Amino acid sequence: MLRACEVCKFLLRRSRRKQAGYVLFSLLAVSISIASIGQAIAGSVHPQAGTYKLQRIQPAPSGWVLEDSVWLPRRLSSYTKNKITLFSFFYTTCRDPEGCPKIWDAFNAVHDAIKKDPRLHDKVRLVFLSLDPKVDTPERVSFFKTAMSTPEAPWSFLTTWSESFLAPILDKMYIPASRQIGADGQPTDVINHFVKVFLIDEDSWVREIYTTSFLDSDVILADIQTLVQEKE
Amino acid sequence: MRKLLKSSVCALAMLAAGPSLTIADETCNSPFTSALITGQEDYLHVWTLGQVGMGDESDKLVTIDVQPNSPTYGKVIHSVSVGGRGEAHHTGFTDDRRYLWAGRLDDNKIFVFDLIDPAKPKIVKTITDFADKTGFVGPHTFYATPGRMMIQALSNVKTHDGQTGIAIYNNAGDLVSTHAMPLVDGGDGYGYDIGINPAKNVMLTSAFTGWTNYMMDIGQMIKDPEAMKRFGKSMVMWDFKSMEPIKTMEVPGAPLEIRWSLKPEDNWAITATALTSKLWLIKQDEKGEWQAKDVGPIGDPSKIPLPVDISITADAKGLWVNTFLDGTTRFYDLTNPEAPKEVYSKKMGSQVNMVSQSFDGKRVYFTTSLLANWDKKGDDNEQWLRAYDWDGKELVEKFSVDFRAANLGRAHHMKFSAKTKAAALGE
Repeated sequence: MLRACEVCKFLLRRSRRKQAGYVLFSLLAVSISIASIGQAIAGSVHPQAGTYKLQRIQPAPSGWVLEDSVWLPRRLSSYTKNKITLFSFFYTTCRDPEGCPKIWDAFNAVHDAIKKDPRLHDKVRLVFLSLDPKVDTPERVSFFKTAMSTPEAPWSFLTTWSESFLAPILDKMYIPASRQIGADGQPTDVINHFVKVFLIDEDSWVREIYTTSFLDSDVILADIQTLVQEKE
Repeated sequence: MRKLLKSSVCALAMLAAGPSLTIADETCNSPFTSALITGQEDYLHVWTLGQVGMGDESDKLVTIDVQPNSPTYGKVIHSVSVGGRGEAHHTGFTDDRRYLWAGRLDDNKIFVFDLIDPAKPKIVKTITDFADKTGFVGPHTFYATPGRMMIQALSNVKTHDGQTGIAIYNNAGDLVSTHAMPLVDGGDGYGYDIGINPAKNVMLTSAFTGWTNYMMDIGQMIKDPEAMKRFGKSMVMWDFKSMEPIKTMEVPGAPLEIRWSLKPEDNWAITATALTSKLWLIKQDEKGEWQAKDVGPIGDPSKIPLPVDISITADAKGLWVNTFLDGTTRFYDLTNPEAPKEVYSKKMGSQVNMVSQSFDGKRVYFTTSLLANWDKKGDDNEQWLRAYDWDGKELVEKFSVDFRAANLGRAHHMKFSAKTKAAALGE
């Protein structure tokens, strides 16, 4: 919890927009408090890591993304190969506690576990890709990378130039996403999206997909360990 | 330019997000399916078998307006013919509820409909090599898992008997893996339905019969003692994560539809056996081991009423059970699932097969066709969709669509959709 507060204060200091900073603070605080619940109830009904096979479900999508600079486009594939990747979509102004915060919850728990397990160091990365490129500029999402990423468990926060660059990636991942229509008939800043987390192997194949109601960090870790053992 | 979407997918996906997803949708879909319709459904899609001498004689997806406030309430508003007759049977939504997969048991074709505009479903993909790629025949149950579609088959290409398996496709329609039904430790190799309980990490499967039987005239089959031996008599509990069987349970008489209690704290599912006309409870005992238990008859089993579709209420306190041969629907009090009590019955017509209820249980829909060669003949071959209101005591008919008079065919599986407005990203 101490780390969460430090992160929130850091983000608040760094954020140029107070309102946005509040949203970020809330998002992180909620996610970390939920994480502790998730760890406590993690299921023991799942098989042990390495005793089952994860199928190759689909290739990870291609596309162009931005990380640190709007002037430096990168291939999404460079974030989905050569390491095991835990990948999902988010946006920084998400206010639905059942949406992005649930993903933060799982990612935070997995990130903490990787840091504590030397066998996983340098083998796993975490990647978030924003659903709201207009608001989530590279500068804005870089705050998160600075706060969250660690050498033993890198965590990239990506965005795109525009929704038109984002849409094909969403289509390939079968993620319906749309802007809620307001009372005036115009799209609002609320993005409705189907929450999914993807586990991608070193060869850029999606090997497992988790949906919001069944996000269990212990299961994700067991799947990561299964992929690690597969290569050993 | 932004495109306003009348979609059952996008905004509802968000509205439905959260713990509610764990309790399935409209009571009998995969728990991994998003966009639960807790309110009024707008459309009902009926996967319909073509019939010789009727309209274009082709299998089709028929869409009916079921929004009471609509000027076209109770009317057929759209129909997509898929070409030919291949024993259209069941359908299932993808996890994002954007696409509806619909299968045919005879020619093994699978049609994928895009419901981005649920009032006008359109075919976006046809899978024609299911049997060649999987070795299975009769794609029956379409059950969404995250990013994938699990398909329970009924038969196989070599013998056309009941030995079969499960094929898993990704949402793009590419085959991911196949899993044979177990033939050891009591397994008979048959398949029919799939029911997953994610909280327990278990998958339950049931058992019907192979192509040779389900494509045979029912009168001929009943007179054939050897054919009548070729029905499944077991249910299998699997470890869902590993897709490995945990335990095979003896459930004689072709256990068909599987309905898990939708209450998160519950640990039981219920099914009905077609040939022996009984309800069976599958539940963990005090040691945590899965057990199957006969919990009572459906109608008079000696008269072979042939239980077919069942539908559990969202609170798991009630169960609709249709019996095909006597054309009757029954409602059971499931307050004690160990001892279901029939509390209501209604003669629906000469035959009745499928039943689907809204999530609140207030609206119940029925259709008539079982299999082309098992449906009754002549005037007894009634083919309709009927919509009812249910107040807990009586079914009150709201409208009926006569599929024969409308030259549509044999009305079979039903799925709901709802419209909403959202602006897709990037458009």
